[in-house]
Amino acid sequence: MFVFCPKLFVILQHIFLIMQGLIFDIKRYAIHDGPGIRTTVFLKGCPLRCRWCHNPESQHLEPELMPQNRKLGDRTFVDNRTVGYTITPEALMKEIRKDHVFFEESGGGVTFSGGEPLLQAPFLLECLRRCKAENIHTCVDTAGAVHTPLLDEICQCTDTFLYDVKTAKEPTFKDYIGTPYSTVIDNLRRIAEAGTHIIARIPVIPGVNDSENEIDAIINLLAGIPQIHEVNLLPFHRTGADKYKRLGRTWDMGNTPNLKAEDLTSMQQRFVDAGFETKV
Amino acid sequence: MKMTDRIRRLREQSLNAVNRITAERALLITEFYKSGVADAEPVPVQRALSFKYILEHKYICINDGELIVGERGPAPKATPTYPEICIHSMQDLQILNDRAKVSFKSDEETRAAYRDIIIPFWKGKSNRDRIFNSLPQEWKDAYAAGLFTEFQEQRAPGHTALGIKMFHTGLLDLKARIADSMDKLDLVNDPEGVDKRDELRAMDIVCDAMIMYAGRHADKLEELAAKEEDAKRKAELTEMARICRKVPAHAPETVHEALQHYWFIHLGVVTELNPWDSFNPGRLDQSLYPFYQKEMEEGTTTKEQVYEVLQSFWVKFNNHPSPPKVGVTAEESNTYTDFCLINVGGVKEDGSDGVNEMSYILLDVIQEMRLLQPSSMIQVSKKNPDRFIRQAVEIIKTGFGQPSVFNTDALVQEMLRAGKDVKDARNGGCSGCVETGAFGTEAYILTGYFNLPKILELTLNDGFDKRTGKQLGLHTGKGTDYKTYEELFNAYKAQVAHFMRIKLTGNNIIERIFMRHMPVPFLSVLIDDCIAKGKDYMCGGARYNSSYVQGVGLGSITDMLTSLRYNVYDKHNVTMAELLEALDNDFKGYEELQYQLVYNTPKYGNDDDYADEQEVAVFDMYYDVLSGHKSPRGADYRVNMLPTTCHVYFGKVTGATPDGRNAWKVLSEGISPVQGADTNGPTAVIRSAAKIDHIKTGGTLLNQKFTPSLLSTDEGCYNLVHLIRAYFRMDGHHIQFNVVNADTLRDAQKHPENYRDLIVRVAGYSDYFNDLGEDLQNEIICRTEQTTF
Repeated sequence: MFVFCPKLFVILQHIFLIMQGLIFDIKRYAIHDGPGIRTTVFLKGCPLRCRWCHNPESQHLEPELMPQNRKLGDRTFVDNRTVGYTITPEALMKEIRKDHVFFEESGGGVTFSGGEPLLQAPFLLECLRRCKAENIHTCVDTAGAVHTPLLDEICQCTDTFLYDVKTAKEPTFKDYIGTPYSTVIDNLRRIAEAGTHIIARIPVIPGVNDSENEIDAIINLLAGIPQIHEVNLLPFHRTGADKYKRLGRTWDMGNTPNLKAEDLTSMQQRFVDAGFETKV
Repeated sequence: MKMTDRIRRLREQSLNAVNRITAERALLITEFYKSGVADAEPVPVQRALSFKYILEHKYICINDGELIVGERGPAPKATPTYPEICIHSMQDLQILNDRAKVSFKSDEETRAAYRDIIIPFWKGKSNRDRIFNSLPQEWKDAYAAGLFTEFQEQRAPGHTALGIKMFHTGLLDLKARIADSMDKLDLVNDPEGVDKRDELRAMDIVCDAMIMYAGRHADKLEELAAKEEDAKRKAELTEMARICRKVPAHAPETVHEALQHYWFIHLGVVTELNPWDSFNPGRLDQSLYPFYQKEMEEGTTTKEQVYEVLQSFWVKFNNHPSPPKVGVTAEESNTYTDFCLINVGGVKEDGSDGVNEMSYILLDVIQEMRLLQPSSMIQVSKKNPDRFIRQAVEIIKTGFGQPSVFNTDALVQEMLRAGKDVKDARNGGCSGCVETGAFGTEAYILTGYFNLPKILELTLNDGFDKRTGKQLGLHTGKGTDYKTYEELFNAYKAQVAHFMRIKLTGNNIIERIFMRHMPVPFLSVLIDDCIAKGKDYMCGGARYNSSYVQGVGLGSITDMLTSLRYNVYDKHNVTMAELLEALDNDFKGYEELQYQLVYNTPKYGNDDDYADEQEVAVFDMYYDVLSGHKSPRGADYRVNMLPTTCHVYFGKVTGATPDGRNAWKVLSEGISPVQGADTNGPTAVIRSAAKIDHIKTGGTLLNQKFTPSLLSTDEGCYNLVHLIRAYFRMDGHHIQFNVVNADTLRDAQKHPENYRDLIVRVAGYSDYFNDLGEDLQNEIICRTEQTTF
């Protein structure tokens, strides 16, 4: 029987350029992941463990069981489904192409999200190249938490980066996220130097990065990067809570309530005042 | 533009008026036929004289403050019946009075008139009596089992819209044409010459009758003006009287005149008989724009005045519920809506962009009036600007299911494919729910719904219907006899062809009855080329003639066939014998299997080719079975795919199905996926729906449900515009959106009193949520909600 070995998977990708990716979802009519109507491909595996992560099934670089309760009449059935499957670039392109008319009409395209898409950099690059060749607009939604020698090439094939800026303070990063902060900042600068368009995406997490102090630090960081004109504020929400249960993990956000768009009005104004086009 | 106080009052009056039966028309037509004055006349002349008699004697209702005058009954929502078409028995009146939804009240006096005068005279003589007397037993058995419905058993065919040309034509012009046609008759050599003469005489009579009827309004308006103390209203009444002396005799020259002109014509059509889809001004923005432009240039009117007269016009439609329906006809079309569908946008006759200032004004009026009737739609051509769609989305997002959205470029292709002239095609549009037609030149008649899923149930049971205990279909074998999926599909096709033969036989009998007994000279003068041919609308007088049998349950039948192919023949997840046993037991004791069928089987609406192959195969088969047949009046039979409320009725007669659906539950609606089966978002639904060749149809219907949050931003609204454009690039015919949360609908079920104004898109029309039956309410709640995380 095939046993999935995550490390081997990535090593093989790099050495032999075995072009298979591990993904956990393809979402069509994604309208919040870049311009227009998009297809978002969720790559599985992420080195970060953000406590608020609403896609905990995206974290492990291997397929895993995530049972789901489903109702039929009065009865509830448990669907023991596995999250995560491997796919070749060509098979993925076939899925992406399905919505090309919608991309063309809306100025949309494909967004590679995760997880951390840079974790499967060779696969990502191959998909991006193919999209480029077919004139499909591409976004990469990354937290920049992986060092990869392929980043420059990825930049060349990417129209827009959706770059997660969770905090601009190293201690906060360390406490809540985990990975070396320097990698994230290095990557951000490398992408900026490559001249690629960047939209900063800031998940606003109560008690983590919503203080004036935190926001000022983020604004300072972004102000130093001329490629960034646009900021998206993503209000914290609890929709992932149930998934932790289904994965047999614990959710560390306690009873932190959902944020609503209107809760972020003053924060949005701060970004606007700092010269950023800002959406909530 | 905001409603003025008087429009607000008229609107309220319309909303609060009680739908009730009036015996007025039925009594007048009974008096006329009882008198025997026309007994010696040929049928068309009899009909014309009866029309004249009604218009001579009916009460002239003029509501306080209104600008457009004329009511079908003696008051708003006082609804006539048509005993020559269908007699309402005392029991029918009781049911209509008492039923919880779509009721029509009747008082003692009204009931006495039916009991003592109307019913005794018409018993055994109505068209419905003729129809049921002529239909073969196999038709009656299949009808009773719910294999198909029949549109013409309680209502007359009509299904058409007025052409732009009639907005520039007076009835006196038509009389001149009638005289000209009369002059050209060759009563010696033309075997149909005498029939033509009779028909033309009838046409001439109805034109005079209508001019007389408008004159009666003018008389009454002058009377009111004489009594009126308010100087402004007095002037208005005098002006309205002037207009009623001018139109419809002469062609209108102002927006106000044009609307009154149309309204008299509308009243004529719906008084002559009770045709389906009432009547329809068609391309209203195209028709009104020249008047508007001229008046604005000359400074003879103001925008405020134009809005007010349009709003008054809008109220008139809402005063006119669909004539009362009972039995299966009520089941298939259970609504007060009478399907007048106003077309806005599209292209001009020369193919150029038709969107003009009047298009935007009409969108404003639709939004401001927020009335159930008239229904409204936008035609979207690739030539129309995005701004136009964007403004319509602004109305759609308020969640009242209007205006619906149609693809002009597809409509034109559909009409060209059916052999129409390109100008006639471009002057056309859609009426009713989603039915394509050449306005002013075509009789495109819907004949009934066709239960595609039920036929598969019979195919699995050797043609035997377990519900009625009758052998209705062919002996093609039982489910277990079909060794391959292809064998099963071929048997299904044979059964579909069998029931289509029965349906078309019935259609042709019924059409003959209408041709012989129910000519409509008034509708005929409005539609080209009835006058030129000297032929009635019912008899093929229109330039183009089409007849439709509307397929119902495409999503359901696709999922049923897919489930059989996948679970029985390909994957062997279950044997046919076991599956049939599960169906016989309505899945009791087979819940695991039902789960597999519902959740782990490919479904239509997800852009999954495995499932969508069956969609295309069924559609093509249905098309092949129906195409190539001609009706007695010379119409080509064509397919379209829409259900009104028939997917609920057809569900009620269909047992458990291989897609995991429990017995008697609703079927899918239009070409929309089975409720809740589409889980890949709206682009996947659209891609699935676009896999059938819409150009081969005369209309398909796709509804989607969006949560309001998806349209809360400008970007979200533009994405809807793009979604529409993309579907139309793929030749999709129609799409519409319910913008509402399921929670809101659930709450509305619990507290209907708080949601009296909640309007939802049902199928090809919208309705008050409170007026829907519970099963239909549930069906809408179960539709997949396209949302965002």
